[in-house]
Amino acid sequence: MYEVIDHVLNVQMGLGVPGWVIHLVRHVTVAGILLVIAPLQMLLLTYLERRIIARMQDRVGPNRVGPEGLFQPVADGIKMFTKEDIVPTASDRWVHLLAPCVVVAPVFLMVSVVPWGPELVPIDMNLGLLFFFAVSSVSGAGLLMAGWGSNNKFSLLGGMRAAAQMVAYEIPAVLSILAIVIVTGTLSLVKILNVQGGLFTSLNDVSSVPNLGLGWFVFTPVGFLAFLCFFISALAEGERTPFDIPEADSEIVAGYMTEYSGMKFGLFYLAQYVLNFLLCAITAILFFGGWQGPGVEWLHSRGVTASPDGSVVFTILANVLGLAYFLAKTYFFFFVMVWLRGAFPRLRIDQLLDFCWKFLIPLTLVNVVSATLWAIAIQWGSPQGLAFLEGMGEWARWGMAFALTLVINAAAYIGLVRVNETSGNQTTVAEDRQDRSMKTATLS
Amino acid sequence: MPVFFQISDVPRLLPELLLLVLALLVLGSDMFERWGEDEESRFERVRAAGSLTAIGLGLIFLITLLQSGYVYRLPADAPQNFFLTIVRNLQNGGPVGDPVVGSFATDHLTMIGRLVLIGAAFLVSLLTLDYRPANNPGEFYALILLSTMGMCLMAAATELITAYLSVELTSIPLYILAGYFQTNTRQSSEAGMKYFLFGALSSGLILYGMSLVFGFAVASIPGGAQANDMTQFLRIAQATATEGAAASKLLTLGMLFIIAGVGYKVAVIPFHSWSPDVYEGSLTPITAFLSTASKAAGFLLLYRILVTAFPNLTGTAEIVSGFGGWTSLLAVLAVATVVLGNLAALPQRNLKRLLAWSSIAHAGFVIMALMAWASPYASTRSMGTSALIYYLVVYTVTNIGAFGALAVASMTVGGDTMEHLRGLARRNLGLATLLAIFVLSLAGIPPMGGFLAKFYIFMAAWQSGAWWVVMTGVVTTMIGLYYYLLILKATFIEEPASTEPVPMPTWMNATLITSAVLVLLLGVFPNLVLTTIDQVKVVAGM
Amino acid sequence: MQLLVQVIFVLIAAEIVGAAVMVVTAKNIVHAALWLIASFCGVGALYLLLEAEFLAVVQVLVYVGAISILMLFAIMLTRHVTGKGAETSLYQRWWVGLIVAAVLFAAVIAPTVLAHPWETATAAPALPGETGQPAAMAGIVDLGRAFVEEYLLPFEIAAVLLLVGLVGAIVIAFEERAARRHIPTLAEEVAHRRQPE
Repeated sequence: MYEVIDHVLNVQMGLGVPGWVIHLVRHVTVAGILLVIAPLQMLLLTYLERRIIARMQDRVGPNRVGPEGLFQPVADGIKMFTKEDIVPTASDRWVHLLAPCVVVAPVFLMVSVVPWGPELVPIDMNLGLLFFFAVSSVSGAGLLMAGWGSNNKFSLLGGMRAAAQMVAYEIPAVLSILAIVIVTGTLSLVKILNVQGGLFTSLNDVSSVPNLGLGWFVFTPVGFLAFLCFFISALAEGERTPFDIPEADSEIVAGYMTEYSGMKFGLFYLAQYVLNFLLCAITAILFFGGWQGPGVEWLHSRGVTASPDGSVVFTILANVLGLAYFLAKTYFFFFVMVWLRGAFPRLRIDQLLDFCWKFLIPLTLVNVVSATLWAIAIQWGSPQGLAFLEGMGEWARWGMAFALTLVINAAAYIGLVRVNETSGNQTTVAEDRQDRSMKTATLS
Repeated sequence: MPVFFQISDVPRLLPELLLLVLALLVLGSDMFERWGEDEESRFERVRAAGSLTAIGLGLIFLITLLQSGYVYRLPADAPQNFFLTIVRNLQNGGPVGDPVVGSFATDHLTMIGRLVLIGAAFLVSLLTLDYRPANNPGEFYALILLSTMGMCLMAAATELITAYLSVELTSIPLYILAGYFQTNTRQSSEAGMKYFLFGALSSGLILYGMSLVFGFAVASIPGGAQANDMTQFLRIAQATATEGAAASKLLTLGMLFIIAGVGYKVAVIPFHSWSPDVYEGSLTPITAFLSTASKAAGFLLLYRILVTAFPNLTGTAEIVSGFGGWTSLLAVLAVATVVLGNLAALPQRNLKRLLAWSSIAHAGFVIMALMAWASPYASTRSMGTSALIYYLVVYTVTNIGAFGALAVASMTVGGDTMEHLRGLARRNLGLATLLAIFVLSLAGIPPMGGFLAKFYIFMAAWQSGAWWVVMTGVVTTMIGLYYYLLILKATFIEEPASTEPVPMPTWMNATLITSAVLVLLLGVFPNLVLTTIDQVKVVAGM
Repeated sequence: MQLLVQVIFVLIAAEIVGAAVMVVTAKNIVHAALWLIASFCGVGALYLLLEAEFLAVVQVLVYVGAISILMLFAIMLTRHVTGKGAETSLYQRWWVGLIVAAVLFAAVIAPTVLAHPWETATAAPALPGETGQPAAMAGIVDLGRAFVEEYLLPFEIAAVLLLVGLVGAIVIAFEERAARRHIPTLAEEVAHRRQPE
C-alpha cells in the first residue's frame, strides 16, 4: 500500500511529498474504504436475514423493491433518514444523543483490524485480537447510556440486561480466544491466520505438511472447544437469539432502543449488524482460517509481494480468492446465526447467566489448560528441561498433544454436562419460588 | 541480573503459604458444615470455623517459632532421621539469605514480625470463639487469616510493589471485617465505610509516593539501564546515595507521601480521624486486631522502608537548626500524636473510643523510637530499633488483652461505657484484675511491660538528641495516667449498679490470662526477648 | 515532531483533567461515572502516546469496558441517582478544601517539582520504518517475563488480593436466606391487593 501510494504520488505525479503524507493518505484511504464497506455489509445482512428467516417460517420476505427485493434495505435506509428525530422531553439530552455514537464508534474501530485477504489488511496491529475485544467492550457503556438517557423503564431494563450480558459473556469469549493465543503465541490476527495453512494440522504444529490452507484450528480439540464456546459467547455479545434478551420485544418493547427514532435508531441497527458481521468474521478467522483455503497460498507465492519476479495478476487473484473464502465462511456463520434465530426460543436472563457461569466459563478454563499442554507438547524442548520431547518426531508430538487435549476436553465437556443436568433436576421448590419472584420483580 | 524463584525458597515462605492454605481450608470447610437456617446449626458452623482457625493459627505459630530457631536450634551434628530432616529443612528457611526474588526478606525482622502478628491473630481468634460473629463464619475467619498473611508480607516486603500489595492485602479484609457486626448494623457499617474511604485514600497516597520514588530512582541511573529491580529498597538506597540525589526535594516528596499513606494505616495524627469511629463501630475482637496487628505491621513496614530505602535522608532531630529529613518530620508527628491523642482521650466515656485515642497516642510513642536515626551513631540507632520492636511486642499483647477484657465486659455486662464497668471488681474480681494489669501496662507503670517499653524508647530518643520530643512524651504519659486511672476507679472504687456476678467465658478467659502473663513476663524479664530483638539491627546494615 | 507530541500531550492531559474535574463536580452520579469513562479513555490515549500499546489496550479493556460499566450498573441499581440533598452538606465549605489544597500545592508540590533538575529528552523519537510498521514493541513479552521473574511474588500476592476482593464482595452482598427480605410471589401479591376489599 505504502509503495503504491509512493509510486503514484512521487513517481507518476512527481509531487515529492514526504513520508508522513503518504502514511496519512494511506490511512485516510483505508478508513474511507472501511467506512463504506461496513454499512454495505449491514445492508446486505439485513436483507439476507429477512429473506432467510422468512424462508424458515414459510413466508416469502421482502421481494418487491428491486430484483428479489434486493433494494429493500436501501429503501429502509432512506426511510430512516427522513423520519423525524424524536427526543423525549424528560430524557437526559446529551446522554441520549451521545449513546448511539458511543455504540457505533467502537464497532467501526473493530473493523479496522480484521484481515480480509493475504494483502487486504487494513491495519496489521501486533495486538489486533486484544484491540478487537478491548474496543468491543466499550459499546457496553453506550448501551447503558442509551438505557439511562431515555428515561424510560423499558429502556433502562434493556440497557441493564445488555450490559450484564456483555460483561458476563466477555469472559468466556476472551478465555476461549486465549486458548488460541497460547497455541500460536501471538495476538496479531495476521500471524494467527498465517499459521493456519497446511492440511488438517496447522503449520505451527507440523511444518512438513503440504500447505493447502486447511490447517484450521477448529480441527484440533482445543480449537474446536474454543470455537463452540466462542461462537456461543458471540451470540450473546451480538444479542442474537437465543440471547436477544436486551431487546426482547414481547417483554420490554425494544429494550434500550425504545425511545430512539430516525437515524439514531438506524445507528443502533447499524452497530448491531456490523457487530454481528465482525463476530462471524472473527470466528472464521480464528478457527476456520479466514482467507486460508486451497489455492490461495499457491497463487500468493507466485505474486509480486512474495517474490520480486512474481506477477501482479497472481497477487490480485490470490486476494480475490482469499476474500471469497473469507466472505463465504463469514456469511455461513451469519446464516447459522439466523438459523438459530429460527430454531430456538429466547432464554430468561437468569438462565443466560447460569449457563455462562456454570458451563461456559469452567469449560473455557479447562480449555486454557489444554491449550497450555498443547503448547508444551508442540513447542517446548531442552531449554525448558524437556529434552525428550525433541527426540520425538513432529507427528508423534502432534499426535500426543491431540490425544491428550482430546481426552481432557471431552472429559470436561461430559462432566460439566452431567453436573449441570443433575443440578437442573434438583430444582427445589424454594428455587422455583425464587425464579417466580424474580419474574415478579421484573414485571413490577 | 534477574533473580529467579528457586524451589528451595518455598520453606522460607512457609508461614505465609500455610496461612493461605488455612484460609482456603476454612473457606472450603464451611461449605461442608450443616447448612441449616436454625440458630443451632448456625452456631455449630461458627464454632467449627472458629476452632479450625484457632488450632491452625496455633500450629502455624509453633512452626514459625521452630523455623526462626529462637527457642530451639537444631545442632549441626544432629542425627539424620525423618523428623529431624523436616526440622532441618524448616530451619534452613530461617533468618538467613538474601531476599526471595529481591522482594521478600526472611531476616530477623520478618521472623519477629511473623511471630508477633500470627500470635496476635491467634489470640484474636481465641477471643472470637465465645462470640457469635455475624453471618458467614467461614468468610469471617478466612478474612482474618488472609489479613494476617498480608501483615506478614508487610513485615517482610523489601520492594515497593510487594509492599503496596501487602498493604492492600492487609487492609481490604479489615475494611470488610470492620463492617461485620450483626447486632449493631448501622454503626458497624459506618465503621466499615469510613475505614474503607480513608484506607483507599491512603493507598492512593502510598502509590503516588512510590511512583515518585521509583521514577526518581530510575532517572538517577545513568543511561537508563535495566530498571526492573529499581523498586527494591536497597536499589533505591543505592540510587540515592550520591550527594546530589539525596538532596533532591522530589525524592523527599515521594517519601513524604509514603509516610503519610502508612501514617493513615497506623493512625498517627493528623491521619487519625477515622480511627475512633472505626474502633467504636467494629466488633471488639476485630478492634483488638485492628489496633494491634495492623498497626504493628504498618510500623514494621514503615521501619523497613525508612531504614533501608531512605537511609540517606535521615536528617536530625533539632527543631531549631537543620530541620529536614524524615526524623524531623516524624518528630513533629510524634509530638502532635502524643499530645492530641492523650488530650482527646480525657473526656471519652465510651471505653472503646478511649482506648482508640490511647492507641493513637501509643502510635506516637512508637514513632519516637525512629528518632534514634537522627543520631549518626550505630549504637543509638540499634537501641532505637530494639526499643521499637520491644514496644510493638508489648503493645500488641497489652492491647489485645485490654480490648479482650472490654469485649468480655461488654458481652456480659451489656455495654462498654464507663458506667457499665462501674464496680466490676465486686462482680468479678478476676476480670477486674486482668483489666487492671492491661490498663496499668498501657499507662506505663512498672512492673508491667509497658513501663520498660516506654523507658527504652525515651532513652533511645534522648540519646539521639530529640530531648524536646522526650519531654513531651513524659509529660503526656502523666496526663494519660489520669484517664487510665479513671478506668480503674470505675472498676474498683465506684459502687456497682447490681451485685450480680459476671460470668467469664472460657476461651476469652484463657486469652486474657495468656496476655496478662506475657505482659508481666515481658515487664519483669525483658531479656527473654531483648536478646532476640537485638538481632534486628542487621536489617539496617549494622 | 517533538512539538506535535507535546501539543497532543497537552490536549490529552487537558481532557483527562477536565473530565476528572467533571467527575467530582457533576451533581448527577451517572454523569460523573460517564465523565470517569472519558477520563479513562484519555489515560489510554496517554499510554499510546508513550508507545505502550499493550497498556493502552488493557486500560480500555479493563477500565472502560469492565470497571466503569460495573460502576454504572451498580449506580443504576440504586435509587437517588441525582444526588439531590447531598449538595448542601457536601458543598458548603468547599472553599476550605480549596484553600488547603492550594496552600499545600504552592508550598510543597510546586517548589519541589520546579526545583527538580528535569532531564529533557534531546533526541527526537524515531519515525516509523519505511514499511509503515513501527518496530515491534517489546511490551507483552517483557511484561510477561517480568511477572514470572522479578515480580513473581507481587504477581502471586495480587492473585490472593483478588481472591480477597471476591470473598469480601460476596460477604457484603450475600445475605443468608434467613436474613433475606421476603419477595412476594405474584400470587401472594395479588392476594395481598385483594384483601382490603
